[in-house]
Amino acid sequence: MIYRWMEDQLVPAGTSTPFSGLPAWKSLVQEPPRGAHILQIYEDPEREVEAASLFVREGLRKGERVCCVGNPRELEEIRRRLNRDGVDVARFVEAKALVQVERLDLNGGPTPPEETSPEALDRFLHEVFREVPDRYPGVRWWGNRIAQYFESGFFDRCMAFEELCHERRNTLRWSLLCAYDARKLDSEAHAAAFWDLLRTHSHLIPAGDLGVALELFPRGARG
Amino acid sequence: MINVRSVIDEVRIQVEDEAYWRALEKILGTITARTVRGTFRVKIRDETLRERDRVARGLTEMFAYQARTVEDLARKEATVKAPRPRDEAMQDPGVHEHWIDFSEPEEEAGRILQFVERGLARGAKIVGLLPSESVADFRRKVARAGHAKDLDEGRFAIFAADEHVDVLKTAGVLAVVLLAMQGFIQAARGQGYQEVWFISKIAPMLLSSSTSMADLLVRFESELDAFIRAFPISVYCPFPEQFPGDPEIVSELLQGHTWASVADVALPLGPSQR
Repeated sequence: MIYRWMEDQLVPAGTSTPFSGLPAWKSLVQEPPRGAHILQIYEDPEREVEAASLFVREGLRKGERVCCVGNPRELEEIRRRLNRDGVDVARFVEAKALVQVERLDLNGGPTPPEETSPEALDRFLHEVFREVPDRYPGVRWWGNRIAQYFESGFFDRCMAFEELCHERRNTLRWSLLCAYDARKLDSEAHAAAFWDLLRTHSHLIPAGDLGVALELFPRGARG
Repeated sequence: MINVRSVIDEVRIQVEDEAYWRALEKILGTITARTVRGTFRVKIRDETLRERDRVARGLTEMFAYQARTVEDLARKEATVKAPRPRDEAMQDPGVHEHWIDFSEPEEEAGRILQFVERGLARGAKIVGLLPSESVADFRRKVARAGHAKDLDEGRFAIFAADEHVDVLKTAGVLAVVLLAMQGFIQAARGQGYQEVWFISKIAPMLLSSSTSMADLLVRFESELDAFIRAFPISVYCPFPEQFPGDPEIVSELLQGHTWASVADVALPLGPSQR
């Protein structure tokens, strides 16, 4: 019998339990650990606003201040979903518990590279963190604006912002959810920078069907 | 004569790699998985590594202990396409399957009967297209195996395929054989059968007549594959274990089938559901 070799390839059934122990992305978004800097890569825009709305709603429910920096379309969709879920959006906005910003007017306007300078970001954060922790136990930050720099190839500008946020993840009482559109990524053009993007986040919510969240570089990242 | 082992091994690796990429895409999403592969190509510059090993190393660096669960899922996904015991796999075939089976001459009839019994269990009409010199002997074996009634009542019909093979050899007209098969399908429908399961020795008959028929053989099997997708049929192609052709022919032949089997093992190929 000359094909006995194939028998060696047989895999015994029931040898693994894939993904046991990995959290579902919804759990991570609902209860992000303090300092979590989550990178969401979505291929379906529905998934982007679903995660954002859950992140914002749970933050407001916990009494946290929530800051959303995004495109008008997504901000509108987040408001619509919050209202649908019974959240009194107008009241939270009026109380400045929910801050929605279409762009970061740092240093008086988006004039690179100053707009992502440490000083400019610190000034903006100072405003966001006012009354934390006395009135608000922490801050949740959702954004999809910086992704546009990445998509357009302005990697330095994007990384400058992400690194600034990442450096502050252990010192500030906040958690961040950054949404990036995978459909705008090119496997060649974005390949090298994608590593840096992953390196500057703590968790990844990938676009796959399994709906899991993965901790990034738990042993620490290399350059 | 060639040993088809190495050829099938290459196909197996290709099948397992494809399953691995599917698993990765299931976790990361299609575009992200491709971007990550590009990232690892840039970050891990080791020309000796296979693409899959490079990705595995990159995932380990990126996700540490979690990479193991990613690998587990990939492995589980791969086992869907991994070789299985032939007897077990033979319980699965439904309609639109195209099975190639390599065996020793003395085992051939018994192996064909497994396919026949699976088809009969599904209520299919079975049509055997064999060389004329083996029709009588095969009928006897079928009857001895307890299927005399199926032969008598027309659930299992056996025909000599010599004329079809001659037309193929002399005129190279593939459509003649496919039209004949279509005729069997229409007749079976008229008799109330929803499916027709064919045992086709047309390809090995072509090959045994002359190795120069190899190109025609591959074209025939490729046409047959498209034909199988279009009709409620399954086709089982018995081939000799000692294959009278070159390895490229075996490789091309395998690509046109959904299952390949040798000895006690079956290897799923191509799309699992059509």
